[in-house]
Amino acid sequence: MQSIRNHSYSGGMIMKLSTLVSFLLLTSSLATLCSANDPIEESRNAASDGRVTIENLSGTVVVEGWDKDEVTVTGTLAADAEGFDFGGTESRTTMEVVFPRRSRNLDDTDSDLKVRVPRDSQVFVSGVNIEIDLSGVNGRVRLESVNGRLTIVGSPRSIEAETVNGDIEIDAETDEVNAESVSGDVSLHQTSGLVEVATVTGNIDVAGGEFEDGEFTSVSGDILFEGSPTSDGELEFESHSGSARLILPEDLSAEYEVSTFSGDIDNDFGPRPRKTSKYTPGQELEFTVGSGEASVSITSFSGTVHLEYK
Amino acid sequence: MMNHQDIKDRLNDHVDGSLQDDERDQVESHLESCAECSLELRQLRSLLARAEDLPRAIEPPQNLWREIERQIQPATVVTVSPAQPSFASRFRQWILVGTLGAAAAAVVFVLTSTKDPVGGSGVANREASPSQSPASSDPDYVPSLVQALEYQCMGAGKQLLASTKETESQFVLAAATAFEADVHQLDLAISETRAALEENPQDAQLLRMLMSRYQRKLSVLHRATRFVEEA
Repeated sequence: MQSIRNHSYSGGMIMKLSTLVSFLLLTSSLATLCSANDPIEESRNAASDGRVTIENLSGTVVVEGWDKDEVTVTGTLAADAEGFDFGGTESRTTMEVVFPRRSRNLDDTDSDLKVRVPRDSQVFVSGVNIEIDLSGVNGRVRLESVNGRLTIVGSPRSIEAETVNGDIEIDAETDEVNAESVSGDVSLHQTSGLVEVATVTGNIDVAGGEFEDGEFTSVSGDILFEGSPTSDGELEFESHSGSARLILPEDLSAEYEVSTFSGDIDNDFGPRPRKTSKYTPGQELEFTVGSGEASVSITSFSGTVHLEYK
Repeated sequence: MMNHQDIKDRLNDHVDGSLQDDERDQVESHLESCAECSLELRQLRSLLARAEDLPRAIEPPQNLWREIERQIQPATVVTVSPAQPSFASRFRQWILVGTLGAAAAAVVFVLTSTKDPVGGSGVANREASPSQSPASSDPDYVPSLVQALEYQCMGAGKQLLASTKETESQFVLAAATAFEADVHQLDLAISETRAALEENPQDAQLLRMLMSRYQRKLSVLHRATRFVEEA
């Protein structure tokens, strides 16, 4: 009997514990998972320099840095979404719009999120048909979309931005940028430091900035660059059929090296290009201004290269 | 507290996900402020992604760079073991995959050589003598190299196709379609550059351009595959 009583007591404890666990799980999931179509309004405490990861397959994401140690999210959820998962720890906040695994025939897929994060957060945002707008964040940022524009304003420590069809617009004082698009245009304003930009058909437009090491590559997009390398910086441009127009300081002390397979070279700095060979229509040009500490290299297949000074 | 060098020494393990929590936190914290380590980490991940993209079995084309063929003739089918416990061992296996490993090494060699060949730049090398030009030391060098790169792209394309076939998500299909259209643009550029190179086989600058287009195509295919698999 003793053993039965003990067993019964033990079973009761287990039942109570399991009820408690079920209750905790239920309340926990209610706190972090919203249903489709609901307006979203959630917040969590967060470390001032923690990581915030946002996944939204379709719609918009607006991220703003602020001075509170808190992550808040407001917005609306797509009708066809399964829910909104908001969780993580103070150092790693995560949020995700959840869709059914089989999602071939969904109609209403756009969720719009506005997220406020501590200013020094690292922010990672990804999606497919998504426009991302980020401002006021000082930590590292990484934004990824397939179809959708990415806009970054402020002074993040470093920026990684990738799209396929969307444009990338960066107007930020930052030391490191890696921007990659396929058919979208990439424009940089006032960036500096280490910069790598690559497109396939998209144009590249750089306005302002001083680059320690800059690589700008496009296949058929045009490149327009108005900026300069640092005193011993290196700029490298490569294009297939797109034109490359560089507007540089007239007194920039640099070695220039330009080569095309069939494109023309226009040079405002003085020296004229020569034909690469008597058998091909290409041109090449090498010259040095001043003592040539910096270097500027441009390679093009059939695109025209324009070298101009401010 | 680990210093810069300690962190660098642990980047391989970090990529493998084999660090303890406190070590991982220290590495991640350091990466936030160290451009050099961040760059090295990206390069490691890129290399790893390429290694993982390699097909399980490779039957090299008969005319693929004679030197490579000589080395791999005893075993014309090279198999990569599915067990890949660490980055280091995966890397070693990658190197052991004769054709592609050698082709990749050749790519690096040519890129380096054309950028800074024997005492000159790629531009200066344009009309270099045959003895100076890496592209001309072996008459089959260029076609073999191009074939190896095409082979790599084909493998990456097949993997993307296989990953896409398994998906039930309309988002992934939309993304794959977008990638596909843009890969077509790269193919056009590749075909133009190839035609020019066939006409001017000694032109090291053209070879470098062609490599660059292939590298870009591979990068787009790898990115598309990563995206599809993550989604």
